[in-house]
Amino acid sequence: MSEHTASRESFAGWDMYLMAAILMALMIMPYRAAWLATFTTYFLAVLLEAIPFLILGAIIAATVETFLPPDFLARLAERMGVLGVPAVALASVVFPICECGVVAVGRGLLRKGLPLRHTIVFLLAAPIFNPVVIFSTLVAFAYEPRFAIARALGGFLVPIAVALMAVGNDEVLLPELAQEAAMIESAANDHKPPMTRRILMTFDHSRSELLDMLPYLMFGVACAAAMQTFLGGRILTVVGQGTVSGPLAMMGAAFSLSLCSEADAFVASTFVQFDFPAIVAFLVLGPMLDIKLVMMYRKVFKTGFIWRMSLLTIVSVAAYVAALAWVIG
Amino acid sequence: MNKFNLKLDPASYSLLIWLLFFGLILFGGFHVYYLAPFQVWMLIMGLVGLLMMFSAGVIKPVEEHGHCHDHDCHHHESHDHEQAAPRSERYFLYLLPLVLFMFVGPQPLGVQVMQVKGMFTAPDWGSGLDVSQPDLTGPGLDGYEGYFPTDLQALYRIPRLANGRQPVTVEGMIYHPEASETPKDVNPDDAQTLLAHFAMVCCAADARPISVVAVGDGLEDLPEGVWVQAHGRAERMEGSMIVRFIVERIEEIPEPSSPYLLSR
Repeated sequence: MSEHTASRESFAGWDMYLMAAILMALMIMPYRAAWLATFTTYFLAVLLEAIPFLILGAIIAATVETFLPPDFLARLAERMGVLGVPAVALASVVFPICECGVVAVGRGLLRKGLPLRHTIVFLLAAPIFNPVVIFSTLVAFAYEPRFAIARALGGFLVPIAVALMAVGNDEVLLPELAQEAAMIESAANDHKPPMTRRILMTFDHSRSELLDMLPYLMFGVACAAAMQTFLGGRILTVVGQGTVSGPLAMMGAAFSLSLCSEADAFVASTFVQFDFPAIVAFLVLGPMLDIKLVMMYRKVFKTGFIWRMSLLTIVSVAAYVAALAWVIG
Repeated sequence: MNKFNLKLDPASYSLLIWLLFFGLILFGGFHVYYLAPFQVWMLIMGLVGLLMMFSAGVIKPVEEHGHCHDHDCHHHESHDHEQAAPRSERYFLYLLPLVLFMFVGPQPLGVQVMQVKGMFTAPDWGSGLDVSQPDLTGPGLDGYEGYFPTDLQALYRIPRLANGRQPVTVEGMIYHPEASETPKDVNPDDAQTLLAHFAMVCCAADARPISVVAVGDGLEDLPEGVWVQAHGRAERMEGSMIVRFIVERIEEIPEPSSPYLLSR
């Protein structure tokens, strides 16, 4: 049994346990127990909000896979050299999708030969460094531009820093994904199928991509809904609002709440007890690292690399926020 | 290439479950419990995407089943048969949203969330109401007997509504906060009842409870979570941004059909 097959088998274990736990709770708890109603509302709300973006991401990924010449991205990256890394962050502007759809697109780009370092920049930058998110941040903070500027800057710098530090020589992709990328590369010279067939293939691939990612999204959303149900804003006040504890508490909140990057600024604006660096920590980390994203990264990277990338993302955001606090005095 | 085979494979059954769920939420009008109105377009887009994927799975060129020559077909096979074609237990996982929805029913967020999250009394939320009428007593307000209908957000955002003179009507849930939840600078004895409402941007996950301190006879006896329509006057508490609502008349109402206030 391959390593990947083994990981899928073990995952099939947890999602079944999760479902069994919820169904048992349904059976033994009094009908319409308050927490269950709250959990269900959060769970369904985030799913209904996220799945259309996942569908969009799956269609974009499949379109890239079917229509882009097999070695186009690899050649472009090679030609741009080291400038290609920040260029990917800037190019994220043309993909106004939130973090729910970005992993599917990232998988498609990887299969199509985009180097790993560039793909990591895309995964981390695209949910922040896009016009919809920047504008919603501007609106949420009553057109006070410093929040939007600090967020956009963080969304540009942190992904580059993480990508440069995270990628070594070791194999970090799931074997299945690496194998598919190699297969597509080796078939670069094959004949192109007719257009109608390619369109059908696009939707066929997109449905595979969607169904592949859905269990991971569902599990992440269920964890986030549980955190929302049982952990409230009050715990943030307890944890602290200090210079160090404030940003850390807000990063913890961003990770556990797993909000959409297009709406999280409105929630951040209600945390009036926290200062500017803490709010920026929330705004920058959330779209790069939250519960549902970690679950979905499991369909791209090996577990060890997800840990490394997560840690580097947290450290980079903390360093960025510290630098910001130092600059503004 | 001209012959097509109509076949429901395991992946198509999975998509059918999601189509059913999306269709139920959208056409049953239950989206108001979970999403802001503009998100309905995303839901429709999702439904269309699911339909196209479903169709692509059902209508397959016949030759695709028998011969796989190119890389795309290999890729398709590896995807479709290893992952997209789920083991039977995956159907149960996909059914989870439907099962939860059927068992629990469509419910908006309630007082339990207020107890966990705490209250936001000075928000910068926009008002969904048109409050641009100059005299505040235009046509269409007859049902309120001279009171100007507003929401909790408008009370904070529009100073003239909280000047202590303008008669206003607000709807909200009754909530009795603990002393530790009392807004800053407010004596807990003066804030034993709040009129509360959830305000959302995109979906229920980002909804936050906002409230106004309600003062009036018998308010403490109203049970938590009951929806009321209160008529009275609003004023800012001295030296504070907190708005106090002096209730002149109050009546229980059913839960509104749109249970959330919406941000700008």
